[in-house]
Order: sequence, then structure tokens, then C-alpha cells
Amino acid sequence: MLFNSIEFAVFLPLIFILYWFLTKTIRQQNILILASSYFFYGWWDWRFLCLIFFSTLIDFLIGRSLGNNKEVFTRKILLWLSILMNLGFLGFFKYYNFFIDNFIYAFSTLGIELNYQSLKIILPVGISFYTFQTLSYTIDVYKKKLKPTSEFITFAAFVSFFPQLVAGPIERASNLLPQFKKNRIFDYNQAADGMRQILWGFFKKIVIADNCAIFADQIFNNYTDYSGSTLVLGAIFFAFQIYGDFSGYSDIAIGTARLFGFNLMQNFAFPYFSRDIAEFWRRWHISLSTWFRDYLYIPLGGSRGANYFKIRNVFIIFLVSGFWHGDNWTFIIWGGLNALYFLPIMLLNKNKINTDVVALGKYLPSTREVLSMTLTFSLTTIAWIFFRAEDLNHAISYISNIIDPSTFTFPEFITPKIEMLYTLLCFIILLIVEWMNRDKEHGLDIANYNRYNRWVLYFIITILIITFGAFNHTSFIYFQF
Amino acid sequence: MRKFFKNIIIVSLFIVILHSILGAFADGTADNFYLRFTSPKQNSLIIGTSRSAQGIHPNIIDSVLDLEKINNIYNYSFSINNSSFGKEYYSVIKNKINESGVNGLFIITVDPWSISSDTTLHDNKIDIESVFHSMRYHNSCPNYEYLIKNYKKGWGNILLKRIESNILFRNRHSFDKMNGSFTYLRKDGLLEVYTSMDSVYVKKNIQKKISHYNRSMSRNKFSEFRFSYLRKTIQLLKNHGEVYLVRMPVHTSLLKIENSFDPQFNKRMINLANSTHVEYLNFANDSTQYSYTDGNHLYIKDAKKYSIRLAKRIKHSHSLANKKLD
Repeated sequence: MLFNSIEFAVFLPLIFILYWFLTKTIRQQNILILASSYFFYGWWDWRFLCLIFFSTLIDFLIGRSLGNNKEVFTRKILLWLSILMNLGFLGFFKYYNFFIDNFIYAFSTLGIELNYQSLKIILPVGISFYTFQTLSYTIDVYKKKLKPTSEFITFAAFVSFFPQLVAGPIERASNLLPQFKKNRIFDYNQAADGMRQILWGFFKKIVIADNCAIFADQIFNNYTDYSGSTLVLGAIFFAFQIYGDFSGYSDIAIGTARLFGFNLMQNFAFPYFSRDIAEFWRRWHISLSTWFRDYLYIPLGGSRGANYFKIRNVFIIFLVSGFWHGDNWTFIIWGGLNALYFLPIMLLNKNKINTDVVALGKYLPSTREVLSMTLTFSLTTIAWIFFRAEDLNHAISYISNIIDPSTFTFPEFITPKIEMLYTLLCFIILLIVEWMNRDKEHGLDIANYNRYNRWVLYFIITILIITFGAFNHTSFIYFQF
Repeated sequence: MRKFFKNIIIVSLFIVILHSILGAFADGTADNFYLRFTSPKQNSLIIGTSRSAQGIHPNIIDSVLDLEKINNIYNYSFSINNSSFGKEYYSVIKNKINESGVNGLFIITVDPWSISSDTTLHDNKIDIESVFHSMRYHNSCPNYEYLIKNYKKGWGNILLKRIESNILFRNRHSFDKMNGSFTYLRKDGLLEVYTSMDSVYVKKNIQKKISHYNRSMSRNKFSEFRFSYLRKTIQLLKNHGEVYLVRMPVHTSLLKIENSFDPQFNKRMINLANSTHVEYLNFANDSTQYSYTDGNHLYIKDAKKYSIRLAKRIKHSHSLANKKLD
């Protein structure tokens, strides 16, 4: 079920009413969450429910065994069993064809032709997200950071919690699981803020992302027809598309969870206002970045040791992060490029100089801040070209066409022209609203505004969605990951 | 909780009321199909894809043939993706015609593409993405069902489009200087397309169409399923009046592609016309007499010229048929 669908507009209020009016105990609430989450996921493809169920059951049982077992060797075996099983599912559904195709290609370059056809594997939506979420549980239990849960319903509800099931935020068991065990009572302020975050998420998805998609697709799919400057514009459209799409999804997910009394972690903290790449990665897809930091980068040694180890660890984390996104070399190059951006500032020990909010307490940034934000945005936008491209050839040709005198001409207007202007106008609105609230949890975190101003803003944003929104019910980009 | 519900109800009511009002503003500027779902049942129809949607002027047919007001012809053509012959289009045509009408006129435009389908598609998957697929109401005004299911923009855009179209319409004569187009669906179902006819721009569009149809050629093939529905459509409409099967002119380069895609097309149409006792009017050889916006669609001024010629041919055939009867 998509957040931007009529089905969800019926589903959410119904579950909300059942949740707060019909359930009396924590257990009943968890059962309702579990049932509605399976319904939510099954709406897309019910066959894959058994995969989530199986993954949940295995990690629940392994978690309990880890809790009951003190022997180091047995505990290690159990941990690896969980890791292999979870990554095995992920590997099969997501990467099987990638490895087979590359294997065959490698042999063909040696002159050996292998006769094998790729399998037609449907990628279960959200598999990368819930796999990482359950893995975090097993690893935390193994490291004794978390006590294993003895209630299957609670654990299953934690794994399949519908707001964040298919595209995150990837919650840490230590943050979300205890919330399923706590008594939840309706809190007006929390619910109202949840609604504001949902509204802002819809603005980003329907107005920004889906409109940018029209132009980004047109330019990327016909890149040979356009001037260099238009290709630059196409890349900027994609940068906003992916931001609007994914952070919009996260806002809707976090806002929805708040309606049910849950607090999910912040997933985006205004990343395009970052002054360097390190800051960008502290602000972009935070739940995944911190997952890799905690469960991969730090166990590898992090930024300790000799430069060789630092460089190796940075490359590993970025390449794995790229590969996590999908079975295409473009994602790996995207990860590698970000590693290259990151390395100099890490080696110069400047990766933690911008940990505060840019121009905090000021209306406008300084010239230096504007320049550093522009540079960071430009670097990430170049990397996005690889992320968006169909394959490496596409990305390289696209970039080659940008390196052209036509880049210094005025970009062509893409039809429908007027809608392109509306989209650019909406960019400005997005940037203004997010700039004003850049030190908050989300773009529309305006609880401190007076009532009149708040309501004026709600109506303006609603009217903007109604007027400029693209209601073609397009899926969220991150569903494919 | 009460305060929360109160606020939610206020916002929801605001959204519902606003949408009801905005929906009522939808007209021919909303999109290329909407008005056709709001018109009442008709006695006479023009059936086909975007070629006839843009290329046959109902008012010209009415005036040349001197049709009575009650039998005024309505352009019920859509686009190749939606109104190729098939189960979906057949059922909406059935819904659109006046059951009691018997003296109507029906112009069915045909081309090799509208009786072909994707080689990989099974018959029961054909047209499942058509605009008609999930529609229940075809003749209600305003048609909220259509807007909910098929309008791809926020409904505020309906109002915005009206304003934009008003401005563009006033400047339509200067369109030759701009590279772009805008469309307006008239109340009689004709889709007016205002576009630049600058030779470089048109050449580029024709080139795009050629590449598109070259790609289609490898993906599509003649469909028995669609052909059987074309036959069914003729049989259905014959119960309500006179039926003419028409092949419209297209740019010579596209005609060449069509002829190589389905070399048997004309023969097939002649046989179909003979077996269903309707007349087949083939204008494909008149290609060079008209100008096209993209090779596939007649330019608005030439569409008028063509509509006069078509109406005269129908008039001629009609009088011949009457003479034979006498």
C-alpha cells in the first residue's frame, strides 16, 4: 500500500480509530499493529508475508537462545546463523542475478561462454530495511546491549511496524522495541506534530518529488537531445526528486508512527544545508548511515589506527552502502565517489568541524557558508547522476555531455514549460520553509508558532499540494531497495 | 482526543468542500478526455484514436451533411493507448450511444495500430491500463469519478489550467513563434491542439514519431482480439444508424511504416466492410495534401479541410446508396 494512495487514506484513519478506541491493553494494541502491518504489506504482495514471518520467527528464536546461552562459541554460532540467514534472503532476492550476470560476463571476457539465463526474481518490497532492523536486534542481544524479548507478538510488531516497514527509518531494536512494551496513551501534542510532519512529507513527495520526476526522467532518458546546462538542471531536478521522495516518505512514516504514540528516529536533517560531505552524511538517511557506522565501521576499527586502515574502512562502508541500494554498478560507483569526497576531510581531521546547525540564530548564512553549501550540493549532485543512471555508460555519457560549452548557455525549458516554472517555485518554498526550521526535527515543526500562523501555514501547504501536486500515485524510489 | 478530532474534521471538511468546488470547474482545459465523460448519450459518434480526436471536426460533418440537431455527431475518439479496439472501448461506446437511436451516423476511423497489440500481452491483459478500465459513470457532469481515478494532478490545477488556457488561447496565433503546444477539448469532443508549425520544430516532432512507430513495429503485431472487437463495434453501431469505416491520411513516412507493419491492412478492411455491409473510405493516399503537427496528427486548419472532404465523401456515398435503394 502506498502512502500517497486512496487506500492508505482509508486505512490510516480506520486503524487509528480501532487502535485508540477498541484496544484496551498493550497486547491488544500490538496485535492490532501486527495485523494491520501484515495487511499493509500484503496489499502489495501477500506471498512475501511468509518471508517476513519466517525472518521474524528465526530472529525471535535466535534472540531467545542468545539470552539463555552463556557459552561464547554457541552464541557466536547463533549470531552467524542469524546473519547468514538474513543476508542469505537479501542476497538471493536482491543480488543473485547481479552476481550470476557478472560471473558470466567475467568468463565471457576470458573467452568462455557460459549458457545460463538470469532468474526472474521479484524483489520483495522493503527487504533491505526489515532485514537490517532484525539484524540490529540479534547483534544487540549478542552484544548484551539489549535483553531478548520473550513475547513473539511484540517482536513481530516491532519488525513489521507498518509506517516504517518498507522504506525505513531502519530502527534500532534498542530504541523501538521498548516502546512496544510500554503503555501508550494518546498525546495531543505528539499526534498534532505527527500530522504536521505527515503534511510536510506529502508536500515533499507529491509536489516536489513527483513533479521533479517528470523533468528528471525526461532529461535523463533523452540526454543526448539537451544542452549541457539542461543536463545540469536535470541532475538538480533528480537531487530534489530523491530528497523529496525519500525524506517525504520518512516524514510520513515518522508522523504516522507518532499518531500511534511511537517516536521513530530522525532520518533526514536538512542535508542540502550541509557545509561538507561529512556533515551531509550525518544528515542524509541517518538511520542507514548510523547502522553502518555501529555495525560495520566501528567493528572494522572505525577511524582508529593507521591511515591505510582509515581509508580501507571508509571505502568499505561507502561501497557497501552503495551496494545496499541495489544490484547495479552505478550504486557502487556512487558509494565510491562519496568515499572519495569524504577521504580528504577525514585525513585532514576536518570531518567533525560542522556538527552544529548552519547559521544558527541568524536569518541568512554568511557568504562562506553559502559557498560551502553550494560546493557540497554540487558534489552530491554529481554523485546522484550515477545513482539515477540506468547503467555506467549512461552515467558517463551524461557527464561527458555536461563537459561541453553548451553548459554555459541558458538551460532549455522542458515541456510542459509552465509546470517547470511551478516546480521551480515550489523548490523555493521548500528551501525557505526548511531553512526557517533547520534546527528542528522536521520542516514543519512549528509547534512554537502562534495558532493563527500555524493554521495559515497548514492551509497554504494544503492548497499548494492540491494545486501543484502530481497525483499519479507513483511509488517511492526507496521501495525498490 | 476531542480537540484532535475537531481539528482533523475541520481540515478534512476544508479539503472535501474545496475539491467539490474545484471539480465543478473542470472543463475542456482540464485534460484531453474529461469532457467526453461528462457529455450525455449520443445518437452519432466519431470513433477512433487521437488521429480522429484531433482530425475530424464534428461541427463540419454536421453542417455538410445537414444533420438534425438531435443527430449531431460527437467526437468520442481518445488515444491509441486507450481507445484501440477492444473490450474496454466497446463497452464505453455501448454506454455512450442512445439505445433508442436508429438514424445516427458513425464514423469509425481505423489504422494498423488500433488493431494491433503488444506481442507479449495476453488478450485478457489488453487495455487494463486504459482510462475506461475502472470507470462506471460515463455520462455524468461533473464526473467526480473520472477526476478521482484519472486526473493526475491536484484538483487546484483545474482552476490553474483554466486561467492558463485563457491566456494561451488569447495568444494562440503567436504559437508559431514558440516551441510548445497546448490542448483544448471542445464540447463536441474535438481535441484542438495549438502548436508551433515552425518547420524545424515539426520536422523534429515527425522524427520522434517515426522512431516511436519504428519501436512499436518491433513490439506489436496484428491482434485477432482487437480485430474481432472492431467487427463487434461495427455490428453494434449498425443497429443505431449508418456506419463508415475510415482510414485517415498520415504523413508519407508514417504511412510507409504502417504499410510495412501490416501490408494486408487495406485488404483486411475491405473484406471487413464487405462482410459487415458498411463502406470503407480510404484517405491514406491523400497524405501529401495535408500538413501534420507530428506526422500522425493533422494540423488544426488542415483537419477542417479534411473534415469537409470526409463529409462530402459520406454525403456522396449516402446519396449513391439511396439511389440504389430507389
